[in-house]
Amino acid sequence: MRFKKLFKIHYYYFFSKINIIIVSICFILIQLLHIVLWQQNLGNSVADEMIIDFVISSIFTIEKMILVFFSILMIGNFCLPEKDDYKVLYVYNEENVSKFYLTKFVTIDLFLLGFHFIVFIFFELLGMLYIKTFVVEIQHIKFFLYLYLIGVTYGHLTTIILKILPSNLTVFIVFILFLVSDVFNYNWIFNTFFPSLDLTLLKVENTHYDINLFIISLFYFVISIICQRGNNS
Amino acid sequence: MNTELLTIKIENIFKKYKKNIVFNKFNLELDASKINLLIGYNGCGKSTLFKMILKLINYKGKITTNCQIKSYCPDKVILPEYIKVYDFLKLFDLDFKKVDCLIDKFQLDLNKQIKELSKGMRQKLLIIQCLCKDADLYLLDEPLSGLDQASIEILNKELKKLHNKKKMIIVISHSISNFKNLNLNVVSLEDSYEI
Repeated sequence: MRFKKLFKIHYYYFFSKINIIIVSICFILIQLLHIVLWQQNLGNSVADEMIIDFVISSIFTIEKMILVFFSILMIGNFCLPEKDDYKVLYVYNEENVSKFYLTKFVTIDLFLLGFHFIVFIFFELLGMLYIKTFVVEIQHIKFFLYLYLIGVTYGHLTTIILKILPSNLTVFIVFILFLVSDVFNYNWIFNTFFPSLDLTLLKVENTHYDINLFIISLFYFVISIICQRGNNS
Repeated sequence: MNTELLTIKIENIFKKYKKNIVFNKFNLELDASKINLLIGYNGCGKSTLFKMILKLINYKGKITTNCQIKSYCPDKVILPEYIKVYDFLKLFDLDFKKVDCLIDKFQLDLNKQIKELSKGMRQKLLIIQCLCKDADLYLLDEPLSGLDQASIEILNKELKKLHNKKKMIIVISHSISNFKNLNLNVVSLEDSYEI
């Protein structure tokens, strides 16, 4: 079966009623968060740089939690065994299994990339709406890019753990793992495999962190495909 | 065109789910000289056998076949909700002349989204995606589920046409009486055990 067709198949299966509801809730929640934080902090005082920085870091801190959980939920939910049974219609041999899961994960990862991009655009637009001097900064782009990579990393980790523990609870277990890594973000061994996002990193150049994040997300992506290939129980 | 008789040979199959042994040294030989109808009590492994033939699950033993292309109509499967009937069928590599013909016979509404279809209509859709594929082996798991009498007759005619083209067909069903005027090879999985 051709790749194009497989992408289409996953796309149609991904947009189920429940997923559309989750995506809409998440998007509205994030926009409300933006609006409330901008409104609350700019209502009574002059918008000096410190306040703007405070609002942005508050938005980023909460958004980090919401978006990572969202990514874990989306990828995990899409790969739950009961949501995966449509492969029987398309997969009849070993080669097709790899193709099927490769396209499935690329589809969900591309969707999440698009979602993060839209959230980023809305963040910038609302910022410009509330503060005249607000400009698009490289830190903002870095934040959403890091957040996307961390989200898909934990998302793919969820699919791996789902092979051992096929339960809805797995999503929460992985999210707790992310929270733990966020608290212990000075333990480099732990953070290599379970990356966290330290907001102070946005202001400095840290090539080591960038490379590590990229490699670990790719690592989990590949492992999750291998795990799905050996899915046959 | 391949004139060789299509066959499947299942040898010494062992399969278990956790502690439940479904097949133990199970052997079976089927060919395309007749339409093969698999019967047996719930949980005896009929659907599992299909999944093993399709290599969708692991097993111990050997399954050999000269059927290259397989087509499958599953018993239960999630269908995408927000897609029109015809767009869904386009996701498969099918013979669309036959698709149009069967859609017409089964009276499926092309412009309806799948979420609007009843159980019977969904079943018809799955049957169409299975029968309109140019395959050597057709595996239909409980295809009569949710079908009315008229649709059962249409299905019977289509199975007969495929059989006349020397295609191999295996059907799982609890009802033999619904497959009228077909050259059947009824296989009861309950009798085939060697424990």
